[in-house]
Amino acid sequence: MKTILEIKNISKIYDKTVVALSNVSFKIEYGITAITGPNGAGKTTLFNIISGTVKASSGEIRFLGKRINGYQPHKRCMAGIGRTFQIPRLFDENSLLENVAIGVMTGAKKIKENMNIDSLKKQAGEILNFIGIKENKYEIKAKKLTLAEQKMLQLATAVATKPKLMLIDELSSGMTFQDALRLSDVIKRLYDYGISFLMVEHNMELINKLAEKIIVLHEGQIVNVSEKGDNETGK
Amino acid sequence: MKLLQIVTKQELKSSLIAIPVFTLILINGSGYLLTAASYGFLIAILSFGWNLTALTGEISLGHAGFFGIGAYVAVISGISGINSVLSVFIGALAAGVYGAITSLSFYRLSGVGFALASIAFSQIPKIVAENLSITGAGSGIVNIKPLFIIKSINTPLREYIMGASLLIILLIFTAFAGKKIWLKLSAIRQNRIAAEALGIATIRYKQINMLISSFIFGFVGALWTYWIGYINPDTAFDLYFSTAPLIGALFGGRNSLIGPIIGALILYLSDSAISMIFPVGHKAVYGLAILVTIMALRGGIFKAKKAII
Ligand SMILES: Nc1ncnc2c1ncn2[C@@H]1O[C@H](COP(=O)(O)OP(=O)(O)O)[C@@H](O)[C@H]1O
Ligand SMILES: [Mg+2]
Repeated sequence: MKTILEIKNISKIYDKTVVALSNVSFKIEYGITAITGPNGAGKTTLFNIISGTVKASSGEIRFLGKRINGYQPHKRCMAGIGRTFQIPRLFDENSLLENVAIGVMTGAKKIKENMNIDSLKKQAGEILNFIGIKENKYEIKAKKLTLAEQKMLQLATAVATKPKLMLIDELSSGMTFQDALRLSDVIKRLYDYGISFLMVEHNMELINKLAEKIIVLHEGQIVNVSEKGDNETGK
Repeated sequence: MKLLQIVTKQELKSSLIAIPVFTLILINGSGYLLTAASYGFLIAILSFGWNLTALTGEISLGHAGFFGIGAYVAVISGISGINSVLSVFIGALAAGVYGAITSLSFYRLSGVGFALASIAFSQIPKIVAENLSITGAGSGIVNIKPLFIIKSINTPLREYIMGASLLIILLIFTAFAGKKIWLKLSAIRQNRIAAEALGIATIRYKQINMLISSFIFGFVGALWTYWIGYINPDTAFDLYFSTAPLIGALFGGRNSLIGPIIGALILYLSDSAISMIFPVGHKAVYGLAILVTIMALRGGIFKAKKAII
């Protein structure tokens, strides 16, 4: 299988004292990979480093074979990395359609298409529909949504940028069983569209259902990597 | 018309009141009234220009620096023999370059850090102007010839330049500011990190807006110094040119394009009117406007639940 993301010896030390990640290395292939581990393990820090929001203290990140350490966050998005935030970051005063339209602008730019505001919003509507948000909510402000809805909206905005790899951080936390089921269905369908996922997740049911590979992080280090089928073959 | 896409109905309504009032004064007025109207337009342009930086989420407290640079560079180029109209643009360009340097040097800063750094950056050109012989040091330069003169009647057109400039600047922005840019700016302002994660080059937008914003300040500074005919560090870098545009924009509504213009015009008009009654202390209008904005009109008069106008 082809490698989509390669993490080499990544370390992160906050404020010269807090070791959030120490010498983390792994590769992921096209597909769905889960990262799990207790709070404070360094999962979000790892996502921030991959998406460029936080700088690693040392180490290398390769995306589709290219070293992207020096890329600013928006360039990483342009290169094909989309992400959600553990605590949703939305444009609160804007409508759902406008929130997603901002992502669509980047998606259009990637394929060098020039879209006017109406076609941006039209495409945003299609994505919201795909994600499963009801049409009667398209025009309300993002801040009016429930947490579960905000998380789905965040997923929609990132998907709109046409990513190759999505980093999703604890999307199912705070969701009801039904919402989580729906989310898992959406992820599956996005995967069918060719989007790979790296997901930080605590819900073991979701992990077992979706992930082909599971990475366990503990106190900034990888303590276990298992692949689907490991159990069946008795490894 | 593109402008209409991003201007709200309330904004349009009040523009239809405020701008004609000022224009009428420009056409019919004379003496004190005419000068006041022109000065109102001057502050309105500055307020608009200041807000370009604010639209990317940053509050600058040091825009007077750009104003002063524009003024000094224009006058000095004029004295050295360059055509005076051209010198205005050279002054504006110098301010724009300084604006670009400013934003390049503190692109990582935002919020309070940005505001404080902007004060520091506005002091550097002032200190330079106070110490060079070419700027006339502390005493400045006097007897600057006015810009345009209709020779036959020997009347300077200076009173009309500000109104005309405001119109031209608005027309230029009308041509560029579509709904898409507007949406991107609102994203940058509300959540920079989310905007970056969605592929928006936030730093570049901040720099471009700062460049245009400082260019406008330099341009107005240059026109102003030709208008009043003298320049010295205290007047050219007067804190007033940092604060009045800021207050006008906050009062008018800084998330809109026209809001700052209307806010500045209303405040300047009140300020001038009150100064006729209370020659001292009339500037308290600006303090009052800030209080009203913070306490009752979060988001400025155009965000108020029931539009005042
Ligand atoms: N911005 C920060 N500054 C200082 N310490 C941080 C920062 N972000 C995270 N940490 C610390 O780094 C460690 C890993 O945190 P995090 O990456 O959020 O873990 P997880 O997502 O696995 O819960 C924790 O000890 C946390 O307190
Ligand atoms: Mg986390």
